[in-house]
Amino acid sequence: MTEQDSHDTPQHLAATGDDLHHEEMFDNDGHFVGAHAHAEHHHVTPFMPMFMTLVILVTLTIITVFTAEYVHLPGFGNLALALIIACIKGTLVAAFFMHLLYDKAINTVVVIASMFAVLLFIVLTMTDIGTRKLHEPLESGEIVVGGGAQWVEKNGKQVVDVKGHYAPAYDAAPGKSVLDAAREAYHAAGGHEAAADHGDGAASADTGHAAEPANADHPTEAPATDGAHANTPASTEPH
Amino acid sequence: MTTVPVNMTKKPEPHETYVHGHHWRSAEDEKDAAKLGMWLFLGTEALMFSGFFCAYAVFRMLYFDTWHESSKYYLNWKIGGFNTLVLLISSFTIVQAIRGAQLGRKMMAFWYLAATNVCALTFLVVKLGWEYLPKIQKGELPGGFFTYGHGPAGTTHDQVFLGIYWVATATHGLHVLIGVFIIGWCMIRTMKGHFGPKNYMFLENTGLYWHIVDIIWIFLFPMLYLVG
Repeated sequence: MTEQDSHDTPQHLAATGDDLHHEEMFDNDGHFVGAHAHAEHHHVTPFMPMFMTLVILVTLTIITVFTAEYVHLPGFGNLALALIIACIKGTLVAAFFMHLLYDKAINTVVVIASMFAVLLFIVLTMTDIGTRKLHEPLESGEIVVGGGAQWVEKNGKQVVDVKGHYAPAYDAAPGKSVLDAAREAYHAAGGHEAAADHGDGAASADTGHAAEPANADHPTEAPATDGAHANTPASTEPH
Repeated sequence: MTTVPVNMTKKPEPHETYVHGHHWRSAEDEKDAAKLGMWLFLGTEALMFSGFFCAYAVFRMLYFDTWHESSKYYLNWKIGGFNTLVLLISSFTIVQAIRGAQLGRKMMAFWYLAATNVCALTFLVVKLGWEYLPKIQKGELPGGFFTYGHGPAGTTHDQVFLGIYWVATATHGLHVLIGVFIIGWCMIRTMKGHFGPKNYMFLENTGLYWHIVDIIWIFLFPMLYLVG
């Protein structure tokens, strides 16, 4: 204390924090901030804001139950509404009951970082699971390697379908790959001229055909083409 | 005849003579650091429960319709709604307990803590007596323990729904049970005079823990009980 007496400056007192009276008068750099700084640091939880928070939380709970039980929204509507209300309730609890509004901002930074990690976890997982159906057309043969050439069943036989023209199956033409058989069928059907009949380039004509209704160009072959899309998964292809 | 000063007749309570740790610059710094540490812990809690939320999201997306049936069939929203209100009120009462400590009103802090614990025990009794025990008796159990027979979905989706219900609510219930003990400890320390305007750090961090338990239930309730 003798040392403190010899250096009796506001800076020194604020830095050591020994003297409570001076601590509330000066900040850590020794600047005078007034006696009210003490009251700001020791925030006493107020009654009414907290009580109103409780009232709002109970009201929102009743709204959640009411909308979930008696209001029927299409699709994910009810779930989304319930979760939005839950997020509002959680934010209210964090801001008022958990004092985030009155505390140092670093606590809010921790909360936001945690919520970001939670969202990253859930959103990435949902993106993975939710987009897996995109590979199902591939597995079911709707999208195949080699474009529009695909294995279909016609008259009980596996054949290659190129833009509605059929080629013998691989086992009927030994030594040829599916792609070779498809190319052969393509040229046999008129090649680029046939593709030009569809009014498009060869590559885009492939996809264009796949997207068309099956009976648009070839009504008589419609059942076979339908069957092709539904019944011939890639895994049953002969090799 | 000498007069004894009034303030000498009574031994000061521990919180009145509380001195912050010597390695802290001030009591404020000590309190802020303790609180930041608590918030970091709460962040890990949120991440732990997000595992259940993620599992819920995935299976809800895959079995959207059957979960609607399962939730309606196995869970009663009135029980869940009652427990939601109980937890919300308990959050309010623990805030008031901290207010009592900040104002130096010992008995206010004590009775609000007691009210919080009554709410917590009510939650647990309702949960065990009206949900868990009937479900155990009927065999509405998760995964391989499922012996209920033919549920509304008639598939293994029932067991997946019950699996997430049991694991998520039981983990939450465990947090409530731990909270009962911590709040009980707070009540003892309050009566010993540990908490006052100069020192309510432990009480405030207990409050933060209790609020995160409340927030998790705020999300679990609509997700499990109000599906559809």
